[in-house]
Amino acid sequence: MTAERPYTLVAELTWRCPLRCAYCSNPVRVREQSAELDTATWRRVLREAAELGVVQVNLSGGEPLVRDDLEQLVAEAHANELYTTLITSGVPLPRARLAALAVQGLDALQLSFQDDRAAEARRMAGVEALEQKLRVAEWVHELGLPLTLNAVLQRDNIARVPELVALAERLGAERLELANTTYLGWALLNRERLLPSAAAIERARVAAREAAERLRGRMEVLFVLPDYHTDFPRPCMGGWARTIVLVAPDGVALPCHQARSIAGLRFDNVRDVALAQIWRESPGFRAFRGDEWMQEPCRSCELRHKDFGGCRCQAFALLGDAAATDPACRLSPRHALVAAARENAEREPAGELVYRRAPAAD
Amino acid sequence: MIALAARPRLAPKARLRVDRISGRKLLVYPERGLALNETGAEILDLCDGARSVGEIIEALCARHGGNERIADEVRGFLQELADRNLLRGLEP
Repeated sequence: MTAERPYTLVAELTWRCPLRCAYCSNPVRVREQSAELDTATWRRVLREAAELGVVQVNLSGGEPLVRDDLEQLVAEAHANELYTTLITSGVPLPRARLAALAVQGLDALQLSFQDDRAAEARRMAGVEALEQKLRVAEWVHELGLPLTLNAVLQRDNIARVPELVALAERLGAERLELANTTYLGWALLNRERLLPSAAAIERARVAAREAAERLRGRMEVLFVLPDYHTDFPRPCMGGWARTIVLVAPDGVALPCHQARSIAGLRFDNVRDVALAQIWRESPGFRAFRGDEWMQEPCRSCELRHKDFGGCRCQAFALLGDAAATDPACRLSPRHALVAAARENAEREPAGELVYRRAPAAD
Repeated sequence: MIALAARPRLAPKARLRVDRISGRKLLVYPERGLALNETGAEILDLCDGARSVGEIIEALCARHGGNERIADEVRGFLQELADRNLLRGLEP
């Protein structure tokens, strides 16, 4: 089974980040990590991606701004007709550098906000960043770049959806992503502190829907439901190695951020193998393409081509079996695990947040 | 509904390009993309900010033989793009 081509390249340029968000989806630890790719290799990866059919590139991380060759990478992406979005915390970013990135052909910017309140934002990110983010949003507007505002929703900010919508409107954002936390990586370690109650999520969903209707044609408001509360798994990455390819800071090519957490899968490095060959032939990419790998209840489920059996990394993280039905699904024989976490979220959580660090090597 | 007097053009955030794999026109914008069919590509080619929606419909009718279906298709397609905030020049 092969997939025709990827449409999106997620270029994880680095795992370094000045922020330490407790909900980060970066890996907590990574086996056999090597040094960050150099500029020349990233430029080759961008050219190979364009040839393979990629049309969107997300420059991500960690914090991509800590790479001092970002301008060169944006220029290379632009020269290859790639629509280039910087996924950033906005820290550290002087106005002159943002202007330089725009000149090199940056198409859009996605700016993350932890909260609209400084103290709460600081508590989640581990550092002070809100004032800087507000300045960056203003510069983005002045430079005429389209702005997506992204807020990862969790227990402490889920009631702030109306305020986050107002903030996005005030900043002139074209899109607002209200994404409930995905409980993998650091977020899984912090799940008890982060997972909101069912009632809080429902209020947020209604507020987001009202905003989406009111703002249609001006600002897209996207509310990503949390799979822990829906009883249905999320169609993770639009299906394993189906439309998205990710290259990690050390060059390992993956179907998603977390894929290398799955023990027993083999992934190739762009230093050694061409991206097109990886896309078509890498054993790790082929492992969960299509539906031949599925077990029951996925195998005979009529939704299997809609939700792709959910998230492989979540199945592995919670069950130790990456080929199992995602336990977020109500049909999973292990759904009780997720239901228990959800019931637990009805009580006030105890314990401290564990702040993100760059991934440790095993 | 899109006004016939509107003079639409693509929003600056949207890029129209040819797909290297299929050869079809793609409309790409932040974190999304639309593969256009021939009619969609033809309509967008005419959205230059100078022509009105009425003139775009007339041009397409002249090209393909006039009928009401074309008018509906043009306005439906442009409305879809407007809902995604991909057009400018909609205020007549």
